[in-house]
Amino acid sequence: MRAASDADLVGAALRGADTAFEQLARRHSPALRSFLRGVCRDQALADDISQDALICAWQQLGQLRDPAAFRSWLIGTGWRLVSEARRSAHRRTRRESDWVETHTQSLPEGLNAEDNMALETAMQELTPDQRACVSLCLAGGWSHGDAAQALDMPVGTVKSHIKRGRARLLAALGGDT
Amino acid sequence: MSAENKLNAFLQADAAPDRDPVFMAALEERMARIRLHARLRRHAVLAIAASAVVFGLIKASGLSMVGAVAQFAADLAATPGLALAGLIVAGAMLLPRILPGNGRT
Repeated sequence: MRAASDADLVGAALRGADTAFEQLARRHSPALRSFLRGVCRDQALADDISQDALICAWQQLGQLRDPAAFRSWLIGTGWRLVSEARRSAHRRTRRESDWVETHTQSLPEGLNAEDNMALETAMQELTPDQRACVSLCLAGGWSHGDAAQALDMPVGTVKSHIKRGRARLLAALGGDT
Repeated sequence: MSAENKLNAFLQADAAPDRDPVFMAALEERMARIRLHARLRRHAVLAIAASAVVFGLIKASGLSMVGAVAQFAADLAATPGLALAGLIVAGAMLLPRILPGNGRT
């Protein structure tokens, strides 16, 4: 059986079927959470903002112009909420206090603690825009065009952020850029 | 392991699981709570509007509020059929709870 498309599910959700929105959330929340984890560098905060973004998307679904572009729109909503959260002193304080706990929990396979720390520090030093582009395109495999649409940036800017971000991350490992 | 591979491993460590029942349950709970609040708000508005209409009718009829309520209660009590129907409905609702072995555990 063919799975319902995003556009079908958005249409059903707009007609009041909450299960349709839950299906959309189940389909796209892994991408949203991965993206926000990459940007926030704090899994708990990223998951909080992911929930907020999904609720916001649910309540403002009527404002989505192209139902087929739900995924980009959801990522854009998450990105907007992250930008707002960055301006919030409360969340910033919490993020800093949680940092040590979050980043001593797990070490990616094949990485030693020294490399992981170097990459984490370099990732923190990237600008939020660079982190967003790196997270979407290098980690999430998004095309430059899709990332540009979701983040509301010109494609050239996305490409440049990725190039600079990648170079800085590789430099942290002492590798070639 | 090359620097490129290390970077990929580092970036992939941020990936969220494809299925996370805890995350989805928390989301669905929040949605249910928002729906409930919206329904309560809607009902509150309806109740206020209905009260305003009743109050207006009573005012227009020239009766006092206490007098109108007392009159309504007296009319109800003076209707034996209505009282009997009330008793039957109450009995039907309470009987399954009173009788042994009928309650859901």
